[in-house]
Amino acid sequence: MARYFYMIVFLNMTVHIIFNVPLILIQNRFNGAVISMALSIVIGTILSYMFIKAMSKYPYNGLPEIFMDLLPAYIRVPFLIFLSLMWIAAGSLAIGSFAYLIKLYLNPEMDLRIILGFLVLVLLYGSTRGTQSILYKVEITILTVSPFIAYIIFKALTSNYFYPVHIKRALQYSLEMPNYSSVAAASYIFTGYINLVIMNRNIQAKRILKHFWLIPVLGTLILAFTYFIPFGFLGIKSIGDFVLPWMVTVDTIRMEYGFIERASFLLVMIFMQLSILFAIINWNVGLELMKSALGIEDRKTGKRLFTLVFLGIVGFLTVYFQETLNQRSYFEAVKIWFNLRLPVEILLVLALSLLSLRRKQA
Amino acid sequence: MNRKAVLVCTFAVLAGLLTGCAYKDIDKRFFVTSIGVDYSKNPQKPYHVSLKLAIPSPQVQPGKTKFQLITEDADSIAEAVRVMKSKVDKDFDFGHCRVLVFGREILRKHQAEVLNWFMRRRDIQGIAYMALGDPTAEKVIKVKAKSERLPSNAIILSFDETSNDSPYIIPEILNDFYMRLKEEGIDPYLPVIQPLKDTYAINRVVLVKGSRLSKELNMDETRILNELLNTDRRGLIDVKKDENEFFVNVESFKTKTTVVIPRNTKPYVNVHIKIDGYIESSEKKLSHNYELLEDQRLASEVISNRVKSTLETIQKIGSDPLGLGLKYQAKHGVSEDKVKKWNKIYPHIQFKVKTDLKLRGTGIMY
Repeated sequence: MARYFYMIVFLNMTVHIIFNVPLILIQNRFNGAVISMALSIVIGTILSYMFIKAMSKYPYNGLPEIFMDLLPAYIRVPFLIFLSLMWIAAGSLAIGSFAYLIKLYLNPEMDLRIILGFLVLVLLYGSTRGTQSILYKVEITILTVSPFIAYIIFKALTSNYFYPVHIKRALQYSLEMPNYSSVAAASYIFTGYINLVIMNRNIQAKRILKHFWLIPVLGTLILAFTYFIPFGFLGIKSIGDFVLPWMVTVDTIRMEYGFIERASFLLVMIFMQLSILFAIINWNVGLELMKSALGIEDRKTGKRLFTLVFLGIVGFLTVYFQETLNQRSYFEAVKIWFNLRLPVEILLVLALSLLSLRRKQA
Repeated sequence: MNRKAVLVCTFAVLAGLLTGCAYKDIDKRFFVTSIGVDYSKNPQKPYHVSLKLAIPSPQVQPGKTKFQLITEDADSIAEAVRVMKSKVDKDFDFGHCRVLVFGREILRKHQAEVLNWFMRRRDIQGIAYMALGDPTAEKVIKVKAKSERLPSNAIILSFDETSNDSPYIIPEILNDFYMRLKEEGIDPYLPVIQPLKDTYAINRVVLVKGSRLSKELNMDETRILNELLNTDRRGLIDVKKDENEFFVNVESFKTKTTVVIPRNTKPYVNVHIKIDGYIESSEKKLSHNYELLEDQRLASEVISNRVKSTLETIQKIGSDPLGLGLKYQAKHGVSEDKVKKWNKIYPHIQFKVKTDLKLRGTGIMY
């Protein structure tokens, strides 16, 4: 079952392109993005190791069950609700970013609210499924999508318009002071492990630790690819002119023998799969956390009222939130979420590790 | 049972929403297959935009392409396109626009504005081919090539290296042009298209100095530039010395360029060329191996000299399509001082060209 875990980690690593993590890093390309990335690889690896190690001491228990024994209700309930909202926000922000992309590249004449509304309907259906069946869906999607990702990377690296010399120039700026925004954004790439708070009910954390080396290796490779490949195509100056650098980068690739020549549509298809799946997972985890915090056990009683009302409100707020903001301020909101996420994640991991230490002594 | 019925109904309703073309059917669209932008000689309305609109026909046959050409003068491309919409009955679709042709004057005067429109539109592909129309873009777009099966397909196929690998054609795509224009240390180029009767001639390239159009290279220089750019296009090398004339068919051509800045001596550029090829035609019989080796030596010498003189021509023009400045920056830093320093070095830099030619054989005959 450990493979599902690595697939979720991989999913999180690839989905960050939609979240515009490359954009945040590219904006800081002259102010220490490279060293922030190196730093975030270290932080991400340490955090994920600590978390998985701590989780492995509670086999088949989710975070709510662990907290149930260890923390009093007045700490446990608000903390779980807060975490749940963080997860829900991640899913909503991802699907909102993707709705912008659909509007821009696939359906320019369609109303943004309608696009997002239908995506939210899909999420409502998907995220109310059981965690186990979502894990199966993760496997199917990753297996179908990864050949295309490999193909795009291969096409990019062998393209005539890929200039490695730009990457060398970008590396000239590697010895700058790192900044918090870049570290927060880049360390996001490792954050897939955190879904273990609920997935630990289905996945044995002990098995994961056997192949732990995959996380830093995959993370470093994907971070390097996603940050440096756009430089190779767009140069270090003009790259700052684009809202979605990866879409423009892939638009420079031509599939000579392809059914369609424009590779950017392939990327949109990959994004569609990944962002919907990512949002489903996040909403599912958020929902489970919320249900445990409020003590609702609808799987046993069969009454789904709370789930539907809660996710309905969330879906409405997602559409409403995107309606009130323009794209620029939307990405600012994403940035704020990123900056908030890192301390919350560190807090969660530290709390859990300390609690698990106590368990050993007891 | 009840649940299943609900699900079936839902999916039936959702399936109705799957109307492929964003709610506008294909018969309500005009596919623009190429755009030409010229200078209109009227300073108030400088943009003379021409669109080639494909007219769908039930049969796709060579030489039976139908298209409509409409033009408009306006003070911006966006405005021109809006006005042109009132001249036709359907909506424009730029999704199949693969060829952008520009006039010389408009790029001299309004290059930044022109490029901005094309880069900003999401439906203009980043892989669209750019070219310079000689004498004007409109005249290039107007040509109805005899062989083409779809409007503008002839130009696309000439630029596509899977269908045409002529070494005189250097394709340039929109995104790459934009990068080269913005970046300091590499300069763009544009292939020049000349309309002929029923076809085109694409065999020259115009260089850009800084951000302004500069001089054209002639055919032979274009070919050598193409080879130096490491595109996969292969060519023929003709060697003539005294009585001995022969041609080498090139199988592979690889160049490695390095910028060397020594401490005490003058800076120079090292160009190392590796060629594999066969003799395609020779006036004399090559009965011994030493004759072949002699030819090999002769050909390398000729190629080295040719490449050197082409590089010097490009240097004199002041353009840098090979990105030597980038190579310098990658080694020595990207700061403004370094860029200025390179701009001082480049006009006087020396080129040292070394060719490793390997003649693999002489074909069927000795």
